[in-house]
Amino acid sequence: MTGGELRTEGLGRRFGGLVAVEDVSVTFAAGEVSCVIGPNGAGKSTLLNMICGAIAPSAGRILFDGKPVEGLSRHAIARAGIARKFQVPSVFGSLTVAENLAVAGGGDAEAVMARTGLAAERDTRADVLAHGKKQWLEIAMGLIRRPRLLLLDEPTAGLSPEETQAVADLLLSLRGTCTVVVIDHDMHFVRALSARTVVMHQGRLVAEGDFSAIERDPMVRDIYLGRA
Amino acid sequence: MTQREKTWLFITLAILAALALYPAFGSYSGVSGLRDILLFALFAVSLDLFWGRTGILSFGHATFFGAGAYGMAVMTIHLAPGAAWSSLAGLAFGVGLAGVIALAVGYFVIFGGVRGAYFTIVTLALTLIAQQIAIGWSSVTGGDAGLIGVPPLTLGLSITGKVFYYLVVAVLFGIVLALWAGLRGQRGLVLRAIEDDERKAQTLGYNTPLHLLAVFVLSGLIAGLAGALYVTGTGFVAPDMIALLLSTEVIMWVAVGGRGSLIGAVAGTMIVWRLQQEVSTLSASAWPLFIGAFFLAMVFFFPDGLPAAAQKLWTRWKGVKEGGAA
Amino acid sequence: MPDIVSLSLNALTLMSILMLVALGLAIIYGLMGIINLSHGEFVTIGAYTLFTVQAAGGSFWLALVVAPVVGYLLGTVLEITVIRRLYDRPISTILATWGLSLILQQAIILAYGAAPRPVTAPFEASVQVLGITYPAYRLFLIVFAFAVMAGCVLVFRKTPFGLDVRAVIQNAGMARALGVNAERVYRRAFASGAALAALAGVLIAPLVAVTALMGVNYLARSFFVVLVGGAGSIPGVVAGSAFVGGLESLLSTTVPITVAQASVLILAVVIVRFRPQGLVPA
Repeated sequence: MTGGELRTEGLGRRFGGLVAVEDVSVTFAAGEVSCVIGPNGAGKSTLLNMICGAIAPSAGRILFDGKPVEGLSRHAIARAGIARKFQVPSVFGSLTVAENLAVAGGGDAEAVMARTGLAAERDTRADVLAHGKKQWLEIAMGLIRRPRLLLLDEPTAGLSPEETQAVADLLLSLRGTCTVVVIDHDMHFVRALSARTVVMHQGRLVAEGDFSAIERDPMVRDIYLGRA
Repeated sequence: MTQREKTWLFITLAILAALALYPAFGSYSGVSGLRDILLFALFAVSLDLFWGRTGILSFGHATFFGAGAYGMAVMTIHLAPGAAWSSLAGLAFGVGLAGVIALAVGYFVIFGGVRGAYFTIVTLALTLIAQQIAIGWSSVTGGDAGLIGVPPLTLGLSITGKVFYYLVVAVLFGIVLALWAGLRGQRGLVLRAIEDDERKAQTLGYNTPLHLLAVFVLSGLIAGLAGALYVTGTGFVAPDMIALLLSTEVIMWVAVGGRGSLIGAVAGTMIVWRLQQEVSTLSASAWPLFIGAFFLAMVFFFPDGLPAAAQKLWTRWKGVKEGGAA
Repeated sequence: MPDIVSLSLNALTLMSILMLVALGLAIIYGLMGIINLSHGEFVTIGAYTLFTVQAAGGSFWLALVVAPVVGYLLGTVLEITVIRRLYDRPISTILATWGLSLILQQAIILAYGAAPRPVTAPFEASVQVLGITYPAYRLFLIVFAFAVMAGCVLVFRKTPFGLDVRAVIQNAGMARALGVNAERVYRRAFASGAALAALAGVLIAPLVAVTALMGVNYLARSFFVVLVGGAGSIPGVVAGSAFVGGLESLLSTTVPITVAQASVLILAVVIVRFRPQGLVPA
């Protein structure tokens, strides 16, 4: 599987007078795992919503493998090979785990269930799954579609440290087959990924680099401690 | 095939067998009366296809039934009276009219993002307007009196009596079984997924308004077919076949039979018709009052339909019994 | 010129009635997200209040005071017994209020019969306006309706109740956190909407046939007023009423009234496609 590079150029979004995202130009390289971090309200979710077509940008471009995708509808962007995991686990409650995966796509459901630890729950209705299992199911629904870009919004919210590590391991194992962009503010998880990290603050991109470098950056620390 | 599906198929085939045998025992008027009820059942199936499988309630389905009925009547009486092919043309015109209305309204409303309660109200207004046109455009529709003299269905030869009855049974069960088979697999799952979380279905690559529109138009076509066939049996068309009251009665038929199962809509229609005969003899106000009370009771006591409520009661009763034994 | 004047005044008459009926519908929808299908019956109840008052020897003006009170009280009863139990179930509310609508219609038929009941306007005279002769009562209706709307704007803007209503429409959770008793706001707003519809019923009754089924005509059109104008805002109701009432009056000079109404519906549906939030959202 090749391709999956996502690039934004001067991307911006205003809500009335409020600037949510401004002039963000960033490249997520094909087949790599990247993280977007920043405090609440930094514009991470708006950025993600623009990439997956939930809201239209008011300025700038989004290029997926060089092709513009900004302003396309959600389903068209999904068909272009972009999968998304929502912050609140978003699964089809009245369908079983296996049926959820059948709706998600035509991949190898058995393999994906084995990989995400869902094999035992294959005939369980999704609305009675435990919170952690719902998170896994939604990740599985992303994986089964063999996307070229997987966007995850706080995939480990509400998971135990062991499960968080397992999600990190899974995402890292996708390296080379699928571009992965994770939005999170859980530093433990981002540290576990230890990937290239982009920092947003007040709608702008303020730093990017390896997580180890970012972690030591005094400006980033100030942002997280509320001093910037 | 799951156990649930086997039960469904068994019930469906049992009702089919009972209906197939009925003419051997029933009187002529009984057969034609049952035929009309089965066409209303087909109408109920059309509503259940949309409401049951997408979770969106249409309060205006009589528009499509009425479009089929008026389309057939206008074609056979005004446009091509006496022609050998006029029944067929009427069928095409009536069903086509229903489909075009469903497509036009559905496109604007569904792609406009209208869902839930708003959708219900827009379709309600649709029926009101359709009824006003049927009453007001009297040079074409016959106004309040309607049109008399719709010829019997003629497909090469005139189809009446038991032949018509069996044709209706075949059409009804053909459609029920075809819908059931067509919605068993991936297509049915996608519709349930859209009902659960439309946004998530979109992010999985489904053009959800297109799916909903397809089901809505198919539903409108089936309702139109029911209406077109119905008037060839009764021989006349009247504004109450496109009225708001009919739109709400069909909701009741589906709710009594349990939404989503298709065959439940058939059973519900037959049960309610039997009931209506009893209630209507009391006074002219009795039936509308009954419908009003039914809707209130449904909302408070059995929101998921009668079968679901009965099942719940049964489980509770069994629970009490087993609890008592233990 | 005379044609244009009478056409405009006819359009204003219809618009005035629609404003009063739709305001209740729009506020209730904006506030609670529910649609009251028995709203049209409050118009009917207003009209029958006028008939009852006049049959008992009372005047039109007495009915104009009594009807809103009747509407308010019945609205309160309805809110307490049915509506508040269904706040989080919009489809159920539609079915329940539809059931209520049928029951109210039949109750009125059982009490008053199915035939139209006679009512009279307070004055029969016609007056000269801008070169045409026009019924004075219709002019009164227009002026009175706009005065009531202006009163509603004042209540909305200046009174504590109006402030609470606007707060709950904007953000119910926040309003509750600030100490607004949302349930009481719902009950009063619902009853006030019913009172306005009953008032509209008195006003329209002398111009139409008073029957138990008259309300449904106003229900559908008012709903389209809300749909086109935008829920929960007074400017939206005015804009929507002008659109529905004006267009219907204009079209009905050239095509049959039914075709005019159908065209308005189609245009309204087209507007929904391109402006889902209505012309003037809250």
